[in-house]
Order: sequence, then C-alpha cells, then structure tokens
Amino acid sequence: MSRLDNSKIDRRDFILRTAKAGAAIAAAGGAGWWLHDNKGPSGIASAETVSLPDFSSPSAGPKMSIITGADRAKTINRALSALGGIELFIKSGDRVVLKVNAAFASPPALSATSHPDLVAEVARLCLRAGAASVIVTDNPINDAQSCFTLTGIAKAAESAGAKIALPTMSSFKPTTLPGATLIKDWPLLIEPFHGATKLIGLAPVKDHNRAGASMAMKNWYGLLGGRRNVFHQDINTIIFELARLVRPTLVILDGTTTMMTNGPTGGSMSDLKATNTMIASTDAVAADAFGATLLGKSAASLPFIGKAAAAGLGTADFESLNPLRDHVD
Amino acid sequence: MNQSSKKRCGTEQWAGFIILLCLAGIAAGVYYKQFSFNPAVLVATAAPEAAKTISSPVPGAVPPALPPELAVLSAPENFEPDDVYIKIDGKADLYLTAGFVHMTCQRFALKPTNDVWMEWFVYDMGALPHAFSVFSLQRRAEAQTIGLTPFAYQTQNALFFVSGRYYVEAVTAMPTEPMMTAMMAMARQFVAAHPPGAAEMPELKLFPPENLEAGSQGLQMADAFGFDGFTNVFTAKYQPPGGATNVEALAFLEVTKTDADAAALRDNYRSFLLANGGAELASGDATALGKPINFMDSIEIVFSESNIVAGVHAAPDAGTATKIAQQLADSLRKGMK
Repeated sequence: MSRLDNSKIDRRDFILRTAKAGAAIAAAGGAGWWLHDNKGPSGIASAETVSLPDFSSPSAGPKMSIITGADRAKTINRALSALGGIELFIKSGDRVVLKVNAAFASPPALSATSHPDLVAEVARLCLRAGAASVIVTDNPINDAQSCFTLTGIAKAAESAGAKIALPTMSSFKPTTLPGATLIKDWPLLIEPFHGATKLIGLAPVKDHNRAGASMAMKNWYGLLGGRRNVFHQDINTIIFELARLVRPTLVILDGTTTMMTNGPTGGSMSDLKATNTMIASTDAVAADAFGATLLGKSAASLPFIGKAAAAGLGTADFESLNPLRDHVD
Repeated sequence: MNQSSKKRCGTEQWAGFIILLCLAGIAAGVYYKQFSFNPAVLVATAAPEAAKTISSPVPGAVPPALPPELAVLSAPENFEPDDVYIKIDGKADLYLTAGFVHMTCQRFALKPTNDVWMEWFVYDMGALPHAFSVFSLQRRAEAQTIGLTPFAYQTQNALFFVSGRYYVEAVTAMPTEPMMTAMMAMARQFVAAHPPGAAEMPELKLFPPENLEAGSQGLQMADAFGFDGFTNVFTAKYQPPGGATNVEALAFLEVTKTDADAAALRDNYRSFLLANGGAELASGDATALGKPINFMDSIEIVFSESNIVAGVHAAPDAGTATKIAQQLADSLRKGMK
C-alpha cells in the first residue's frame, strides 16, 4: 500500500501531515517575520533623525493681509504693518530663517524664483526688528551656487545683511513625519535651522505642471533632499505632508508677477502676468487659497489645499480671516 | 471507498483549501505592501549625485561656430532621463512621458560685457512626434510663428522650435535686439546642422482647415483628457462654426493599428466619460458619430472611422460639437482615400 494512497490514510497520518504542513507554514512565516526590516535601509535608519521645531506664533493668531501694488518693498511693508508689524513676529535676538524659492538658475525677470527685492526687504525688516541673524536658504538640487547667484537672491540677501546657507551633503538629516505615507526617513535640510527661532517662507505664485500651482505650501518642497522627484507622482500628498511638517512663523506669497502657464520653470515672459498683489499670512493654507485666485483657479481645484484644510492646518476660506486689503502706489 | 474514508478525504480537501487560502492571503499582502514602498529606500540605494557620471552632450547641441557676437558663459550641462529633474524639477514628467532621451543646456552672453545672457536648451526627444509633443504642449498664447522650421515661434524674450528629433529653447531675461538677433542666428546654425528632414506627421493633415486656429495643433502622448487609453492623441483647436461663441473646441484623433482597435478605444472612452459623470444628451441625434455626451458642462463626441478614433473635446454646446465632428469625419474619409 502506498503512503500516498489517500483512500487508505488513517486519522493518525492525517494529523501528522497536517502538523508538518502547519510547522512548515509557521517556519516560513517566522523566517519572514525574523528577516523583515522594520527600520528600512540601515544607511538611513542608523542616522540621527531630526524634526523641525514649531515656529508658529499662536499668540499672533490667524491673520492675513492682501496688498496690491507693483513695488514689492512697499507692498510687503504695508502687508506686514497690516498684520500688526514685523515686531509682532520677530523679537530682539531672534534667529530667522527665510526659506526662499531658488529652485532654478533663472533670472528674476522670469519670475520662476523668489524675487531678490522681496528677499532683501524682508531680511532688512527682520534685522531692523532686532533679529540677531537672518539666514536665507533653499535646496535647489541643481548647483545651488548658480541658482542663488543667477536669481539675484544671494547678492540681495547679503546686501541686506543676511547670510546665504547653501546646502551641502552634511546639511541634511533624515526626518520622519508621524503618520505620513511619504515623509519617512527622508533627508531634510536641517543645518540652517540650528538655533533658529523663526521661519518665514517667501514664495512666488506659479503655475505647476503637476500640482496645478506652486505657492506657500509647495515652497517647503525645497527643504527635502534626495531624489525628491519621486514625490511628483503623488504631489498633493507630499505638499500636504510638508504643510504638516513645517509650521512657519509667517508666509509671504508674492503675486506681484504671477507665472500663469508653463510652470514651474516658465521661460517666456508671455507666461507671466502682472497681478500686483502681495499676501502675508500666518495661515499658509489661506494664503494659497487666495493665491489660487491669482492663477484663475479656485482652492477647490487644488487638492493639496483641501487636504491641508481638512487636517486643520489652516482654512481654505481665506475670507473668514477678514484679510486686510489695501493698495500702495 | 467507504463512508469514513470519504469523510476524511473531504476534511483534508477543506484543510488543503484553507492552507491555500492562507498562502493566497500572504501573496495578496505582499502585493499590497509593495504599493506603500518606503521611498527612503530609493534614497539609500541611489548613487550619490556627486558620483554621477557626466554624460556627453547631445551631438551638435551647440553649433561649432558660435555667432560672433556670443561668448560662452558656462560649461554645458547634460541630463538624461534619470536626472533631468535636477534641471527642470516639476516639469520633467512632461518630457519623460513624451520619450525624452537627453538634454544639453548652456549659457551664452553678448560680447564684450557678458551682462546680457541667454540659456540654450536642446532636448533630444528621439523622434519628430515626441519633439513636437513637448513643443505643442508648451506653446505660448502670444507666440509669433517664425519660418525657422515648420514648428517654430518666438515670444518677447525666447525662441522655441522643433528640428527633427530635437526640441530647442533659447531663453533670455534681457531681450535686447542684439541678443534676439544672436539667438536667431544660433538657431539657424542649429537647424542647418540638424535639418528637420523628410519626416512628417501625416495625422496633422487630417484636421479640416475650416475654422482651425493656426498653430494650435498638438500631440498628447499620455493620458489625454485624463483617459489613460489615449496615448498618441493629435489635437487641434477650432473656433465654433458661425462664430456663435468665443469658446474654442478641441478636435482630436488617434490612429490605431486596426479598425477593431479604434472601435474598442472609442467605446472605452465613451465608457470612461459616462463612468465619470458624463450623460448622453437626450436630445442628441444618434448619428453615425454617436450621441454627444455632456461631460462637466461641456460637450464630447467620440467616433471611429476605419482605424482612427476621433472626436471633439470640451465643445461649448452640442451644435458646435456636432458640426466640428462632422467636418472632422468628412476630412478623415477624404484623407483615407
């Protein structure tokens, strides 16, 4: 009689075979569990992980101002005074980081990056308010030196008394955002934030090929290192997670010249439109919701705004902040 | 086989079935988990940027003899599909989905001061349709057509053109007359070195000329109109016949291998529209072109003619959509004779 003759198998054989099969499955499962690397790549996980401090000023509350005018120095001054003055946000001895958009080695006339006039004026205002230092930074990926030079940001910042922090390999440390699906053990530009007490984002209003718009929240993308282009496949989630990761003191959204089409790089002046608007806000979601209107879009058409608002990071109903509106010639 | 053996056999079958079910569950778990792959792994496994091999430039990206008024301002930069995002972060996908092969860019300045400069980008897209695709998708509304090649225009501060498999941009922030003249001279030299050749896109000739907006033809090589079935869709803008409204409509066509493929693609696109909130117009005539579909407050028509699927996208009303679709269908029939 063959042992494989199932019609002759007895209870004892059956239990034995089932036990063996169960043991084999348990061994395979156990081996899988044992070999599973919960921490991810050792090169990343073994490094010290970091997180950004919360730079927001709860005492200032949600505020927003919308100032029209073509002169950035004038509009940003009025925008800040409308919020209560730069002194409401920057105190004596503060160490301020200005996160600009210097993503491309592109001249300011093409409006693909933060405008040097705005960077210089905000740096001056911070120093005048008593800031101990102002650091201007971004991670443009492509030759940071060229980007900061050709955008005019380096010269403008230094002339205003600020320092430029160009990213190097050692400027990054991995960060993990709790509950995030994308920001896990990801390199974050952290070095310029050592000792920093305040963070101001300075972003231009631009069309964006993947996200629909690049504004205040998208500006934090420049704090990521590594091959961050992988996130473009899920651009709305990464912008939302960045809005959770970065809690700024203030955001300044420059809609003096808006890149209406072919963003974020642009290239032709015909991509640009003089929208002559400067927005300052403690609520980046509200700032972006208004910024969308400069692009001829609605907040509802940009999913990252809805995600951020739903998570309580700010309001997409910017009118609920009763923004102060004014015009300066 | 007695009753007891039959019972045992059944029990074993069930036990075996449950074990297989467990294994299938594990396989499903592995399959599901791969979609939440930790992106940090990519960082850890990627070669450091500094260690990247510097690739060679697009052959002849820069004409051997520069226009005499130009001087080299920077070394050429070269990018391939895996690193082009470094130069055009945020827009790389537009090129990659259209078959991007290689890009070389370099800055040049006007002699003698070097204060006025421009950047010269040469994208090797592999083939004329691919180069035309990225050219057409970025065409500026204020474009002024220039006779440099069949697909070329300029704006206040830049030149954009296709020459064969290459898409070229020359951009300056200081559009002085000497700089624009120098840019044009360099463009002519490039075209002389890389002539457009005899390659053409016969699909463009299938669009009827009546009410066609000049220079509006385009090519979308992925996910046209949000539908992933469209992978090679030629488009052209049309003013509504009779000028009833200022809203344009987009005529489109994609050539497939067989008539059956075209019919299947037509049906799939119709299903896609209907599954995403579209509704057939009750009053629409069920002509050979099919009933118009109201989709997000604009009108769509899709039909097939031999091995071509074609239609009208985002028309302001059913009448406009039907007229343009009929013109397109007539043109397709003529073109195929």
